[in-house]
Amino acid sequence: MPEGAYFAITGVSLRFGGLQVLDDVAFSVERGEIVGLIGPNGAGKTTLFDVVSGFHKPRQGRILLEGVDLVDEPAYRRAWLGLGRTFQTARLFPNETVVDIVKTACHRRMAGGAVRGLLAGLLGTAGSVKAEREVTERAETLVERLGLADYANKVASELSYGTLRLTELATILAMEPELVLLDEPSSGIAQRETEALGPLLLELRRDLGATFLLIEHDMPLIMGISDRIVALAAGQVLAEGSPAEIQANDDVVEAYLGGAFTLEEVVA
Amino acid sequence: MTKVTHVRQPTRGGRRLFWTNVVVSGLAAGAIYALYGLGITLIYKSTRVPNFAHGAIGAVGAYVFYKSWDVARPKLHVAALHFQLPFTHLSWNPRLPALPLVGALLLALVVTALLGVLVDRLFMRHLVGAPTISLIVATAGLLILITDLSIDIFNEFEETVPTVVPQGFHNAGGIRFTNDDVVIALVAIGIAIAATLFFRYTNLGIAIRATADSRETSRLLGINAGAVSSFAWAVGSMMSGVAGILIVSRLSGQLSFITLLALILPGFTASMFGGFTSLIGTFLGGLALGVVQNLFTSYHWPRGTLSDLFSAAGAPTFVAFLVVIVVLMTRPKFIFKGVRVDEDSGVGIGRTTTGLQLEDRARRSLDRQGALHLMLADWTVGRWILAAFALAALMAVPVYAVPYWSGVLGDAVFFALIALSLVVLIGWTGQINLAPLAFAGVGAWTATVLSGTAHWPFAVVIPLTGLVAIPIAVVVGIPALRLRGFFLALATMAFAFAAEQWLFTQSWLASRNKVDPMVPNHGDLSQPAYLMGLVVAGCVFVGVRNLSRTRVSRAFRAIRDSENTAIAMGINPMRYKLLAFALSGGIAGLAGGCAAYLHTTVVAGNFTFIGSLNFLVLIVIAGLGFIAGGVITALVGWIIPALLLGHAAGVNNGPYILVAFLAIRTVIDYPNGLAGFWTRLLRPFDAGERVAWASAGDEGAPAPAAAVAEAEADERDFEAAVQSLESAHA
Repeated sequence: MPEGAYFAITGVSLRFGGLQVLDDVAFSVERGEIVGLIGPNGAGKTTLFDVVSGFHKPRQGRILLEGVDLVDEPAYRRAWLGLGRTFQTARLFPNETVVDIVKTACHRRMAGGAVRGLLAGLLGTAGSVKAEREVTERAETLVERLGLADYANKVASELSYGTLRLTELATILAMEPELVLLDEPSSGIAQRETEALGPLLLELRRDLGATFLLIEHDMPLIMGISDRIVALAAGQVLAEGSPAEIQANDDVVEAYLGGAFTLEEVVA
Repeated sequence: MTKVTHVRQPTRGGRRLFWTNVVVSGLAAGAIYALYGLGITLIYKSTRVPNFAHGAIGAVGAYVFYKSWDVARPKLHVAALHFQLPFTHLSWNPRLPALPLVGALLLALVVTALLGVLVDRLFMRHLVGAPTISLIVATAGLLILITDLSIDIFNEFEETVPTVVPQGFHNAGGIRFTNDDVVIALVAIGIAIAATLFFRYTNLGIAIRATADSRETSRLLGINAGAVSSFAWAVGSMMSGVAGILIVSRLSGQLSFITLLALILPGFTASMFGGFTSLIGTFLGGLALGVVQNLFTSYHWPRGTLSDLFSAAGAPTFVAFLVVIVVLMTRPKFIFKGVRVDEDSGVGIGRTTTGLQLEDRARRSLDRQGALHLMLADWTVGRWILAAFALAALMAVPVYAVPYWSGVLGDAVFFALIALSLVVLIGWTGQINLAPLAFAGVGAWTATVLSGTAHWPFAVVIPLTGLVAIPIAVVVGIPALRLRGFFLALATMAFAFAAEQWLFTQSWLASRNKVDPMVPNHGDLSQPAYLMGLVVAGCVFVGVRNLSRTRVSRAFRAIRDSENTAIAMGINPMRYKLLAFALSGGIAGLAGGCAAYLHTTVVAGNFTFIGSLNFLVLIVIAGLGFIAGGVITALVGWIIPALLLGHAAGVNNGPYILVAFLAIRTVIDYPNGLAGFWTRLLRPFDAGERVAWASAGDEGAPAPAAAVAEAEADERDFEAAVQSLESAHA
């Protein structure tokens, strides 16, 4: 395990009742990389994301971001430490408008504690009005940059899945995380959009200068944009390497397809 | 140090007998709770509806029984029923047939069963899969609807009736119990066992369980889900009727709505012990609650504060409150095995884009009308001018109108503030609170203690009424850190009852229930108090409106809509939930303080659980997600009824019945949540929307044609997004 890695997971294990969901998972990620996480259903990919973002506490293991262990940090604190994530089924706020959702994502960027925010807000102090104006401008810029201007004042529950996904990416831009966890950004959207998603994610990385950890079932997408791939199966790291190495790895092919095809065929 | 000195040191055997009797009479009380809880469990198990109207249905059963039983009827003050058309003198006063015991019992069972079926057909079946808040509002509305209708029909006075069970008192080796105790215990255990066997072994019982788990799947299996839920409501309501009749007997023939409604808390507590699904668990839970209450209140607490606190009349309610909090917070596995804990807050607000646009349009069309057109052309300025006019008009009321109107409008201010406290807590943050009046009561008694007893000036007392309520609200909010939806509602209900029956009835407060007049030697005190209330409410409304545009309000709303996404965005859910409780409690406390000055005397009966439910129902009509909901609540819930009441002779509860009915219609007609008032006013409900529940699982799934168009639009959006980002870099 390289000690100097930007982000490292070491020996993470988690059980749900009798089921070993994560078993001694360990890998590391360099700053600025896009690392794809693949594996058959039930391999523990999303659970690993939940552990990294703090929704599950592992039984053992450490999660190191720039050498700092995150395991004992509550989930919301991890966002302040630079972690941003999306959920498998775009879980945004159904009653809020797109622009309000993006503003909510700016939470971390707005200074001051909750109680001070409440008092300043009630009194309508100049500071709180100014902060609000700034965040509105920022959110509107982001909404425009993702081409969502037509939807800015629409309520999320009425948006299509694709638009929700774009809104979700806008919230990631608004949060300005250093490490982004994307859980199946292509799920629920059509094939043609999935093709557009690759370039979009690359743009996102250039914009944020962030490191990406990506779960994806769409092989062409993940193989196309990832610098490295980590393959999980039954809660364990099965293989780790460049997209080309993973596609040639027999264990991965076996785990994924029972050996009937090769991953190259699937990707092609 | 206090030393307990008993007048007579009981012998060892005597002490054991004493505690045995404490346990036995606890079991007897517990059997009532069990009987009551069984119906609640049955309906929750079958339909997933927490039925707050259970007691009201039981009371109807009891009234029908005692008004038709030939032994009881001659002893009643009012034996006939009373139906009257509102605003007229057209009335009809039929009598129920005089029947022997069995006949009257059958009639009561038939009436309650029909009532249950009616409730299901008219209301509850349209709410399958609805958010928790909608279910709670619907059954709370039913509670108010049935109670107020029944008080008009059966009469509002308490009656004393002969008991069904012959009075008999037994003493078995020093252990004392009555016939009622034995009958109630036997009926309860009989129902628990019979119903358990029914659910386990009969086809219908299994079908009901399947329907409760998944209405869709059971429908695919050929189960008539509608009939199943009607059956469950009929049986549950009959159980409530039996409980009502027996409980009246046990209370030595006291027939009144209030006593039967107050059993909601122990009933739900018993049901909670069964995880809301196990009937045997409910039975044992009822007994356990009765015994714990009796042990607690019979214990010789050290003389002094503890003894004062724990032997007060409402101490059993306080014990029930503690039990509910402890069980819900720890959620032992053996109770909550397989109980689904809500994932989301259970509060849908149902904001829609069209709704937002409609509101915008409404504001702008208001803008354009009338002579103020030019002045109001710019709405931001016009709004302030309009507000200033409204304020001036309200300020002028005490000068020009009869004092009566200062009182009415003063209470309207109270309504508006309480409603606002619910908007912040439920509408924004999604934390269901059934105890807003308990917080108001804390504020009111703070005012009496600081003003009437310590004689502090009102300018100091009023802010303190809000400040004192804040820590109490935060403590009540602690369960919200672990509980959501229905469970949180239950915890706050327990607090509402503990406040109403225990905290506010402390003898220490009884002598401290008056405030000093705001202006000494002023004839009518309601005028200055009303003006002060107006100023306080004005400040609070402006403050909350300011707050609604800040990150704090967005954090609240994020927690309501999806707690996990909020966390992922860096929002600390614990801190913001407690903050919402603090803000809401503070507003309610101020409302209570202002009300104390308006009425100069504070009465515990003004801060009840049922009163709190009434506010919940009102704010749902007015629009839970909107600040303006506060003002509309005051209008719909207080000012309009006050205008109408004088004319609605004979149907005193007419306005409340209408309000409860409107609230139930609101949650049924706007299934995606409790849309804003303007939305509902300007866009009559669309029947197509109601179908949304049919596929509650994939709520909001678009129709096929729409899906195609959507996919095409998505494609364009994605390509546009990429281009836009690329050009940004170029």
